[in-house]
Amino acid sequence: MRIPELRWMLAVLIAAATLAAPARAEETVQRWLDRMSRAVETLDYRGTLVNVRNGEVDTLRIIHRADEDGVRERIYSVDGVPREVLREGDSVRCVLPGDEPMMLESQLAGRLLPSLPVNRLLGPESGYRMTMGGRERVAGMMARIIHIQPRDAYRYGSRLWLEERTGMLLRYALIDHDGRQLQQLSFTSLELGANISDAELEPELVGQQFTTESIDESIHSAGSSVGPVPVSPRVPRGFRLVNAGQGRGAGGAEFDHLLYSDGLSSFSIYIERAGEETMAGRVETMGPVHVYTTQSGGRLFTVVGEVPAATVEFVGRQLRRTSRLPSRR
Amino acid sequence: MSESSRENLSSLMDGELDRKGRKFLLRRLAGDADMKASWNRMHAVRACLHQEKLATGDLVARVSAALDAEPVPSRSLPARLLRPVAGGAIAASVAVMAIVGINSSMLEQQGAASLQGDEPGFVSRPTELDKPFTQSAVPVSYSEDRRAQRQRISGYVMRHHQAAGSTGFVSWVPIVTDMNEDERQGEPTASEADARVGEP
Repeated sequence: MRIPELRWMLAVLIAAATLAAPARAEETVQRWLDRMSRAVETLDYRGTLVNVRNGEVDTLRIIHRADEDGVRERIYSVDGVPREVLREGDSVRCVLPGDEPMMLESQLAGRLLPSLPVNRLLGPESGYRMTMGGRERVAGMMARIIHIQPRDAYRYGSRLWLEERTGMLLRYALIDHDGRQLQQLSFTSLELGANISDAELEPELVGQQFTTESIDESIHSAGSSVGPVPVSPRVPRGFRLVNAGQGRGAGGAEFDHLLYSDGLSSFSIYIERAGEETMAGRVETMGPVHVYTTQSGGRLFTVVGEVPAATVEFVGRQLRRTSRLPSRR
Repeated sequence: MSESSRENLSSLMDGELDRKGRKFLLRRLAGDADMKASWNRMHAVRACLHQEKLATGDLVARVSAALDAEPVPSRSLPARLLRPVAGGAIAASVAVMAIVGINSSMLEQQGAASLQGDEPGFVSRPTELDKPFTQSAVPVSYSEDRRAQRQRISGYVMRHHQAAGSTGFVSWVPIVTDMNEDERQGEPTASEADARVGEP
């Protein structure tokens, strides 16, 4: 073989290798993420979590059991006002403390979010850059670190510390587009494969009960078969409608529920009937969760998601606009 | 002019109206003096916001020139030396006031349009996280539908987490921790984050 030809082939090989390397790394990350979701849902464990956000530290206990009856989980506060969240199969209950404590219950048959095919998350279309990091010890266990960096300001990224043998999530840091850390959640102790008794999963708090249920148990399946939807606003790049369903609130009012996802982050749009009066949009926050509420064209829109305020605001403004245009009403 | 006409104008400016809507609005704009004035104002505001620096520099230069042309009564040496500096300072402060004036009038407009009286439940006050997106925090007045609002939003957040089934307990932790924050801070606040102009 002549030298120029050899050189040419070498160049092609090097180019192919450099192009393939990030793709391989992302596939590895994807495998770890799959392991993590399985471990978090299917393992039995009991642990103590520390949550740090805005300089506030909260200590929580978590008890999780998964068996043939489904998942049962209890998360409760160890310091401050007693608070807890209980998950049992299709229902989640949470107690809001206060002068008149409220027990909110939400029932939903199965999750609406289908696992997106890996190729949606990878490659140039992905809203994230994903890389494997080093190893670190967390709560007495060795963990692999994964970096997930958002490519724009419409989604959050994270750093995950996953236990090497099981993929269990040991530490979680939420980061924004500029790489700033917004929240950190870490196990200080964790018993994997613990024996969890029924008594441990019983709630300690009670209150007046309100229930939100889904009307349609068989919510439309994902992908191309999502039927006609009441609204289809412009959304930030990378997000797409993955599911639609209906529900009935605690007051008996019906609502439509649209779920959007980019493969990692997601937000929901809820639409209810409302009066003709108009209400300017407002953003409320609950940790990393942002809620945008606006009323226009006889409908009340609520956009909810674990996404930056900019994302719910973008979608909310689109909804407000389209519901007001005479040509689209 | 109604809120919806203003909204339509802003959509037109952002190029977000379809062909039919655009035609309709442009025809209205041609015949409505009030609307035309509003359209010109919006463009002036947008030009100011987009070329803030340019406008500031220009304004400073113009005010400086005007001050220079003005006859000055004091003829003492120190005053003569100080004059250009003082002129620059006054000019800069006029420019700053012009910009602040625009911003606060926009805030007032938005504030008037917002509905007072709902209440965010365990949704807490804006955090460091939201500063770039939030113009001002307004205290929320307590009202009868407080419980209903609290229930509605909390229910929606819970349902979203169930639907998305994101990373297990990670999604549920903020619900527990933020309930505590509500208690610690007493009265929760909501933020009016709608005062920005243009798309994010």
